[in-house]
Amino acid sequence: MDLAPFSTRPVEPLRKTTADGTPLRRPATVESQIAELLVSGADEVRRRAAIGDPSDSGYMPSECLVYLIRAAVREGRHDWVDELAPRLLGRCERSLQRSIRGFDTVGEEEAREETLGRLAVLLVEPGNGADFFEVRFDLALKRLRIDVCRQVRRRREPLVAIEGVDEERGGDAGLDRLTDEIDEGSLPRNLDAEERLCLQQALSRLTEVERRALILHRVMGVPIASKKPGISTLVEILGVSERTVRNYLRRAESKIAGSTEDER
Amino acid sequence: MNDRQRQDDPELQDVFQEFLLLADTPDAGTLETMVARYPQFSAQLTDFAVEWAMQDLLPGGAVGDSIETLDGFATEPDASVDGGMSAAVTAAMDRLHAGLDEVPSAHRDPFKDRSPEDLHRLGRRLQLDKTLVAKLRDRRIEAETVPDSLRLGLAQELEVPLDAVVAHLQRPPVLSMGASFKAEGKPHAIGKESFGQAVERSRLEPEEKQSWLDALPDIGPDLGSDRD
Repeated sequence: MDLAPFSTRPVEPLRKTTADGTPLRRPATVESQIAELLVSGADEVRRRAAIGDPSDSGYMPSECLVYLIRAAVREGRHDWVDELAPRLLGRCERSLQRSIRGFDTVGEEEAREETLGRLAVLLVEPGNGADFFEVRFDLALKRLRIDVCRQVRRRREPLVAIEGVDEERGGDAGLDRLTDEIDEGSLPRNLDAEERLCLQQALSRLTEVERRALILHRVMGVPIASKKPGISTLVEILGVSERTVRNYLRRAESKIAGSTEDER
Repeated sequence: MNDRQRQDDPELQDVFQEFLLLADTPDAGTLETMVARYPQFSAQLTDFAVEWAMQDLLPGGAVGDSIETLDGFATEPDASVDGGMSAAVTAAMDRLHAGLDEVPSAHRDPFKDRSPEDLHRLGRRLQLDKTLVAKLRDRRIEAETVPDSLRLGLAQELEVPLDAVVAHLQRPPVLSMGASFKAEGKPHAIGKESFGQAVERSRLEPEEKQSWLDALPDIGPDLGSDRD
């Protein structure tokens, strides 16, 4: 394949602006690496794009890969697109295999494919929808991943139970710790592996609204109700009475503690 | 418009991005700030925050990795091309190729299909007279002599990437319709002039001319205006 160096010089500025109208700018290190790549030969670009180890000095940051792919799209260089896009998507796939959580195998695959597909579409769109991927790729991918997961979860089973993680497996200890934490009024974020497994198991027992109430209140600290105007509360977010909110929370906590007793 | 329909809403995506920039993990204060700023997206923001919290808390394939590490990529060999593409990457590439077929590339003329009214409006906004606009359209100005501010202005007004403007200006000049009809002999290629020279020969007001001449890129006396 003939891969002539890009003709795009100088580095094209981003077009998107922040909420206050400030133009979005790439970090200086990204900008300088793109400039360097644009004047390097095709073999060098290809060699660097193939490096998969971020600790390697020649590793091409994903922000630079995004720039090159979008530049190739703009210039009609589909050979370059076919060379570089699989590299970027492959990196993302490996990341998503670890970071998409709380689904069964089919749901996880659906969320991963949808995230990759949406990224692929953004890369070729002529607008500025992918600009932030050239500024903070990790954060832009995280946004895409969470957004896709919330939509896939809505379409599918909200949260799956993990087979073999329950009282019989000796998960009681982790569950007890979670229950203690919840009794004390919060859920810690620095959970160990066993606690995470127990938490998923516990949350899978809850209804959608119970889980939302518990996470908003116990994990994020959203108050149940407030007399102060303008404060986001569970009553407001869930659109129910304070008494109902308290019932949701009581049932959620009761289920997590292992009791299936319905308190209605 | 329901939530499913607006999943790719660029404005909503920007709002989510702003949310992620404000906090490392979702909390009540940040959610409240975001809902106050964007009340039209309050339901989506709450949904997003709950999912974000769950993704932070639940076990993943590599439990214990920080989210930054997860999205920042692990130190694994890249097998995406050499080892063949996975089904997910292949599917994503299919979507990418489908999108490519619809994308205007920089090889397309950014002035194509612009009406005289469009060009008149463009000239007024960018402080160019009709002749200058026509010369830019017909690629009769040397690309490297065109100020960066004008290149950017053209890209914005024509709603094309900057690359497309630069690529257009770098191509050989075209013979204008008028020239082709009026020529007595065989049509021949018209040479290019510098932007400075074109400004000098334009009908712009003296202060407008000076404004452009002051913005000329520093590329040496031979490629600047006649005054150099």
